[in-house]
Parts: sequence; structure tokens; C-alpha cells
Amino acid sequence: MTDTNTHGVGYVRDKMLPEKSPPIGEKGAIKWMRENLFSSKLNIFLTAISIYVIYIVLASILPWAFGGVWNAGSLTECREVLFSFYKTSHDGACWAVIEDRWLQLLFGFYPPEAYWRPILAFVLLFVALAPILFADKVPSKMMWFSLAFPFLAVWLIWGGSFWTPIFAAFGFVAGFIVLKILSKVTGPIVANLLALAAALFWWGAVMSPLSDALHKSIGAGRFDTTLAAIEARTAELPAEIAALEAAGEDKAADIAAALEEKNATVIEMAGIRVGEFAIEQQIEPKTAAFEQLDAAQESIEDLSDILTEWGRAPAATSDSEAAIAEAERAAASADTLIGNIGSLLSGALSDLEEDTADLTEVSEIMVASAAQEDASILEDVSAMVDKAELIDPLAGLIERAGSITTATTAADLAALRADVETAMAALSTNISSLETIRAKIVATNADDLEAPQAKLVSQMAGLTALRNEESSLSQEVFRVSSEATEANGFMSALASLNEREASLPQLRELTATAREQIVCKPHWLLRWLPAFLEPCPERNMINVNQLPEDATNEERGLLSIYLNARNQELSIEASVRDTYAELGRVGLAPIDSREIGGFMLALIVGVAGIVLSLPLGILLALGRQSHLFFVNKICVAFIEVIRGVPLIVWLITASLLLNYFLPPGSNFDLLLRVIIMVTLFAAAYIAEVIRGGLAALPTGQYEGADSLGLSYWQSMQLIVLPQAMKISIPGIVNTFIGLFKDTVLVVFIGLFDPIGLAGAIRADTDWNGIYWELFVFIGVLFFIFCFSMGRYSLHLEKKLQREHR
Amino acid sequence: MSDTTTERAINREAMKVSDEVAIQITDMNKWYGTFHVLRDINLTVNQGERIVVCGPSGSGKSTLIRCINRLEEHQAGTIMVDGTELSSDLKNIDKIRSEVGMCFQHFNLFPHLTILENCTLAPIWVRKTPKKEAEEIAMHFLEKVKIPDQALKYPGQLSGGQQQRVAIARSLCMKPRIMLFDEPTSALDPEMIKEVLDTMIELAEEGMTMICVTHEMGFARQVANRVIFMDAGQIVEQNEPEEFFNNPQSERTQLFLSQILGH
Repeated sequence: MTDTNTHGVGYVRDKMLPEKSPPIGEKGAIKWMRENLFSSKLNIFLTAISIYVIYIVLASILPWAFGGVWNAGSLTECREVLFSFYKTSHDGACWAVIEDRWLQLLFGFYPPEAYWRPILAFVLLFVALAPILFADKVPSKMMWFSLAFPFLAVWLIWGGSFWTPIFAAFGFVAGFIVLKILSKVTGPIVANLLALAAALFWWGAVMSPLSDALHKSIGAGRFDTTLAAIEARTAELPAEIAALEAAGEDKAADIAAALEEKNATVIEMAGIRVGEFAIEQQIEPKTAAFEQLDAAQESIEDLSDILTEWGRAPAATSDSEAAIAEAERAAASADTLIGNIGSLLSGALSDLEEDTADLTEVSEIMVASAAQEDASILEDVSAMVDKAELIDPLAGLIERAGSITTATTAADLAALRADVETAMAALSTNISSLETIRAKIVATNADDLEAPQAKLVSQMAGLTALRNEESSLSQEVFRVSSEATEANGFMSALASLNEREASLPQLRELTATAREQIVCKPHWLLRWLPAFLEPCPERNMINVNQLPEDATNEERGLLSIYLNARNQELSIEASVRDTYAELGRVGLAPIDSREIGGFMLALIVGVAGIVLSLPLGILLALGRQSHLFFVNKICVAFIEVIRGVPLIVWLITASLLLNYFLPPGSNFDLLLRVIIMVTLFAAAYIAEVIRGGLAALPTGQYEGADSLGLSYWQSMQLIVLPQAMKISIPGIVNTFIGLFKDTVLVVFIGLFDPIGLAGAIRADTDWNGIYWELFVFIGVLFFIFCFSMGRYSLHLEKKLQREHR
Repeated sequence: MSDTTTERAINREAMKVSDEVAIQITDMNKWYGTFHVLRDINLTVNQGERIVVCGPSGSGKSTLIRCINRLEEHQAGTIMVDGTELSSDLKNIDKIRSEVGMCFQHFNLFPHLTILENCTLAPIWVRKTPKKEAEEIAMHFLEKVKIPDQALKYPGQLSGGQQQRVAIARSLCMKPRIMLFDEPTSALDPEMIKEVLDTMIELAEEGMTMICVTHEMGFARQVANRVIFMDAGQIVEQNEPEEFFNNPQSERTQLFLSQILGH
């Protein structure tokens, strides 16, 4: 502008201006602070408030967290240590509970000797995640490991023969092979359905007989050697147990000795602090008395207010019912106040009389302890008034309070109140001089206490170490004795194996005969069928009660004979199978789902839910976009029903109701049911999130893909989903974080997730009353995982931001 | 509209029209719901023909060419492309789509893939060309549209004109026998229109069969061997460009031409 003005209207720049650096206040830290902290009056105010609030929060949390006790065997011991450092249980955390129980919080009741298995699975999880999360930095061949990981992890955690995960994986391979062969012959839909059927057939009908056959052939070969080994082992075990128990007893003795030493230290400290306690005992009743007097003083004031308002004694000013009632109410409250005044004053008196030791006793204690170092303490004590001087005026006051009526004048009440206040002032002086003395004593004690405090801390650490050793010994005892029990059980199972196996054909025959005997009554619509085709619903019954009500006793009897025979056959068959499975197992010891708990449970459910719900959610989202009427409506119904019912209801359905729908005798693992429910639940949300992403994609992308001749699945895989998923990343990760945290809901169906374990730990008398420390620990564990997921999502969003529209 | 096409002499000699029929549309009708968009369209396009379709907006020009590769479904009549009839048979549709290239007004490049990946995607997945060979083909066509140095960039980093040329190269990578252009220059700045039209002219000189919906009348005059004027879902007039522009027969065509050439 100025250029134009100085040079006239026509202007041509002949030299371009060089770059200049910005003014001082416009760069670096100063600029940042000015813009972000002090940009306006409101901003300055908010900055100040925020700093203050952060200070308040940290000032209360940090000393609690960092001044906590790590070594203690129980909450009581925690408090002992805290008290020896002049702290109450509110000032210091009792982290000892975490030190004592962290393994349980992480692993639940998983056998400690097998901890390495979930830990290995957890480490491998990260190896498996690497090619998925950081596809650009990790060789793509690693994907094969990622695909194998689920099977490997399940095998590591649950154990069993090594071929089980391989067989399970082969189900997918079988499906894939069928798909590859058929997709050239039939259409893609038929091929997909048949592939699914092939996989299901493999898992349902081929896999477990094959596994059983392997167990049997390996087991039969091993029979003699295993039996001999077990017999040898059983012979060794009692001695081993005895040795362990003896070691445990030694440890217990060590612990008892260490406890005694610790108690001695505690007593020593109490001895040092005896003067402090004596003063404490002086302060406490006096403070109580002071409070009572204060209340009495307030009551006098209230009474005086009422009397002044009514002129004198409350009396009705008119004959109306309301006036009479009001006067009565006032008179009643005046009477109550008069009574209160008397009782409060006598309460104060009795506090002082009964609880406060004589000052001479205090002096004696002082001479014996603190006063040795600081002579002024004794002077202070002797300078204090005797308790009689505090008590005497109270007696007079009580007498005067006794004579109060509604007729007492305002002036009298005011005089009484003034005297009560005088007594309060005397008490307050007394208390504050006592507190001064206590401060002096604490100061003199501080040096003396340092050594025993340090001693206590180290004794506690030693004690914790001893206790840990003892608990690992007792764990070992438990493990070895359960090994002994199992070995005995297995021996007797082996002894009867041949007999049981031999009895099977006969049992089968019996069942078949009994089955023939059952009276068949096919539905009347089907009676025209030839006899060998006639359906016999009775033969598929599993309970006599399923017979119609008009069934005769004979019919019932025959059915029940058949059912008994069948149950016996099935149970013998199962027991033979179990024995062979144990005998022929090549792999890891099997571990029951009930033993899995703690944060590990949350991780298993969370990771399985996340991994499985994403593909399912994608399919549901595509289904919801589909033009095929039934595919569309089924997906919509699925999403809406799953989403519309609380997760906890689904979990309870999984734990209780599903049993009614499953065939009897099928032992469907509870944890697996929970994983399925959590997966379905999350998939419904993921589907909606991805649908949002699909909707945000311009139709041009679909047309572009179509015009190039890409098939539906190709355009989804290559064009649509990569872009829709990118848009949906924040929503997907949000759902995952929610899913991961919701895994704690399994506590309601009796699984021991971290929250359930916290309850179990509190049920232990040692740790009864601990809340914060346990929940802080659990919260921190969850936070680490959820925060990492959130950060990863941000990283991914940034990485994929290259295409700007 | 002024002539924005190239100043160089156009080699019309090379633009030979063969007798072979590329597209045969017979009595084709299309409705959007109850709205009759295309009415009794009859059109035969020979191999090597360059046809420009023009007309007011809403006249059905885009819908017509979108029917040719089944981005829109027609409800009556037949469309034969290269001897294959367009029906609801998915195999025929995929076959025709891989023979017919298409360029859109808004390019419809895939923003999450690089230029090279955009060009090799369909050859690799539809034609099952080996990746290396597909990349060589892609580089060949990118050189042809004069942007080989942008191959590793993402579409968002390119100008509109460059993006449209990539879109043309992407279609060419499938070695189509027919190219459809749906207002390829309408979303471009005037400076960029020329580079796209130049590319299209080169393509025409190589004998590509082209159907082009456009308002670039200069291009029509220079390149087209037939201009079709559509209004209200029907073909109102078609003629050789000289005849069409200098001596339009129908009143509707005269009005349209006076409006777009009048300033």
C-alpha cells in the first residue's frame, strides 16, 4: 500500500524483499506460553486455577502413593509401620497387598509351575501383532506366524496334545482347499457355503475321533512304561512331601522368630514414644470436653433466641389452634434445649474427670523419657494447670444450668453463656499448650526413632522375604501332594483300563437291545410310513419326563432301562477316552478354564474378542449395505438385537441359559461361551462404526472400481474397505477399548477377573479393609493397555493421513 | 465456448473408421423409478469412431454412456458391446467392463494408492498380469500421458489435469477397445483442460474408439467424426461435425448451439 502511495499509481517492484526473522515475543517458549497460557484474562485465570487444582490433587496423591508400605504381611502390619512413621493409614498406601498378591491378580488360580506358558503366549502375542500393527517395518512373511499364533496360544494356555491345535488349524485349511477347488466349478456363494460345511465337518466329526485314535495308539504303546514310572514316582512322593513340609516348618519357625524381633522393635518404639502417648491421652479427652462445651454454648444461645422471641415463656397469644400448637412446639424445643445444656455440661465434666490422668503422672513419665533430652518439657508440664482447676468451674456451671427454666431472664442466660465460654477458653489454652509440649516431644523423639524405624523397615523386608519363601514352599507341597493324588487316581484308572475297555461291547449291546424295547408311538401323520422308516421320537429322549403324560408305567420303565444303560455306556466310554488321553498325551499338562483368572483372563477375553470381532463386524457392515433382501435384514436384525441388550444380559445368557439349548452332556467351556458373546457384542458395534466409514466413501470410488472390471469382493478388499476402515479407525479402537474394559463384567457370572479377585483378596482376614491399593493396581494395568491402544490409533491415523481430499 | 484444443495439425488421416461394429444399441429405454430418462435410443458405433455427445444438462448423455458399461442398468432394448450382450449375467458385465475404459468428471482415482498402484491394480487383479509386467505397462502409459515422474505420488498430491491424465492412463492399462469419457474436463481449471484434451486427441489419432460426453466444441470439431445432440432422453440430431455446427437441422439444436457458442 505504502509503496503504491509513495511511488504513485504505477509501480513495479524491482527487488524482491528478503526473509526476516519474527520478533522475539513471536518465537520459542515465550510465544508458546503467551499463546497457550496467558492469551487473555480468562486464560490467565484458568491457568492459575488449573495449576492450583493439579497441585491439590498431586499433593494428596503423591505422598500417599510414594510414602506407602511395600513390606507387610497384613493390613495391621501396614498400619504398624505407617504409625511408626507418624502416619495414619490415610497418609500412606499399603502396597504390601500388591506385593503379596500380584501374581494372583495377574494369573488367577493358574498353577504357578505353568506360569511360563501364558507369559510365553503373551510375549509371542507381540511378535504376532508386529506384522499387523507395523506392516511397513516387519517382513510380510511374519504374517504366517501371526496366523499360527491363535492356535499356538490356545495350546500354551490350555495345554493338551500338540496335535490338537494343528488339527484345529487344518479345519481352516480343509475349508480353503474346498473353496479353491469349488470356486472354479460352482459360484462363489455355493463354494463358500460348502467350504464352511467342510470345515465344520472336520471340526465336528473328524477332529476328535482322530485325536482319540492317536491318543489310543500312543497310549497303548506306552502303557507298561508309564505304569512303571508312575509306580516309581508314587513311591518317591511321600518322602518328598515330608521333606518339603519339614522345610516349611523350619521356615515357619524362622518367621515366628522374625515376628518376635519385629514386635520387640515395635515395643521399643512405643517405649520411646511413651511421653508422646501420655500427652496424647491428655489432649484427647480435653478436646472432647471442649466440643461438648461448645455445643452447650450453642444450645444456650438457641434457648435465649426462643425466649427472646416469645418475650418470656412461650404462651399462646390467641385461642386459635395454630397459635396454641406453635406455642407448644416452642415450649417443647425450649425444654429439650434446657435438658441438652445440662447433659452436655455434665458430659464435658465426666470427660475431664474420668479420662484425664493427673498431671503428676504425666510429669513422672516425662522425667523418665523425653524430659531427659529437653528439660524445658518438664517445665512446661509443671507450668500447666492441674485438671482440678478445669473441673471446678464446670461443677458450678452445671448447678446453674440445672436451675434454668423458661422463666430465666435473658441476662442470666447471657451470663451463663459467657461463663461457659470462659471455661472453653481455659480448656483451649490448656490444649494448645499440650500440643506445644507434644511437638517438642516429637522433635526430641525424632532422632531416637530413626534407628528403630530403619530397623523395622528392614525387619519387615526380611519378614516378607521369609514369608515368600514359605509360601513358595507351601505351594510346592500343594503341587506335590496333588501330583500324588493324581498319580494314585491315574494308577487305579490304568489298572481298570483293560477291564473297562473290554466291557464296552457288552454295554453297547445292552443299550441297543434296550433301545429296541422302547415302545414307539410316531406322530399320527407319519404312521403310513413303512415300519423301518417310522420315526421313533421316544428313542431320542434323554429323560423319562419327556414321555407324554398318558404313557403307561411299562413304557416309562422301558425307557428308563434304556437311558440307564446308555448313560453307563457313555460314562465308561468317556472314562476310557480320558485315561487314554492322559496316557497318550504328547504335549503340555491340560489346565481347566476355571483356573484361569485375573488380568490374564481379561487379556484372553479382550484379545480374542478384538481379533474375532473385527472380521465379523466387517462382514456384518457389508451385509447391512447389501442389496440382497434377506442378507440385509438378517444383518440388521442381528446388529440391532445384540446392540439393544446389555452385555451383562448376554453374559448371563451365555453362562446359564445356553445350557438349555445345547445338547445334554455337551461340556461347552464357559470361557469359550464368554468369548463368543463378547465377540458378537463387539462385532455389532464394529459393524455400525464401519458402516459409517462405508457411508462416508464417495460413490465415485465404487464406480471407479466397477468400471475397471473388479469383482465385488475385489473392490471391497482393494478399494472400499481400506478407505472405509481408515475413516473408522478412531471408532474401531474406541470400541476395542470399551470391549477390553467390559471384560471385567465376567465377574458377574462367577469368573475370577481382577475385580472378582480383589473381592477374594479382601475376604482374607489379613487384607480385610483394603480397597484403594487393589483398585489402583488393577486400574493401572488396564490403563496401560487402553492407553497404548489409543496411542496406536493416533499413530495409525497420522500415518494414513497422506491422502488429503 | 472457445477452442481450447491444440494448435498443431491434427492427423485425421490416422483416425480410420473400420466397418466392424463396436457398440450396437437398439431400442434402449431406461427409467429412474417412473422417470423415463432414455427413450428409444438407437446407436451404432463402429470400431475407430470418435463420437461426441452433447446436450443440455439432464438430457441423459451421462446416463447413456454409463449404460454402456453397466454402471447404470437399462430396462428395455439391447446393448451389444464387442459382440457381447449386456444382461444381468455377471460374467458378461465383468468381461465388458474390462474391455471398456471409462474416465469420470471427478477422476475417481483411488486416493489410498499411489499413481502406479492405481494403474496396475486392475491389470494385476482382473487380467492376472504379473506385477512386474503390469508396472512396465503402467509406466508406458504414464509416459504417454507425460507424467511418469509422478508415479510414486498419491493422487491428492497432483493437480486436477494430472489426475485426469492418470485416470486415462489407468483405463488404458487394461488395453480397452473402447473408451468412454464422461465430461472429463468439466471439473478442471481452464489451464488444465488443454493438457487433458491433448491426451485425448493423441488417443484418437491412434484409432481408439471413443464416446465422449463433453462441451468442448473445439474438440468435437477437430476430432469427432460424429456429433450427437441429446435432449429429454432422446437423440435429437446426429451429424458430421462440420455439418452439425454449420448447419444444424432441428430448432432445439440451433438454440443449444447458439447458447453455447454465442459468447
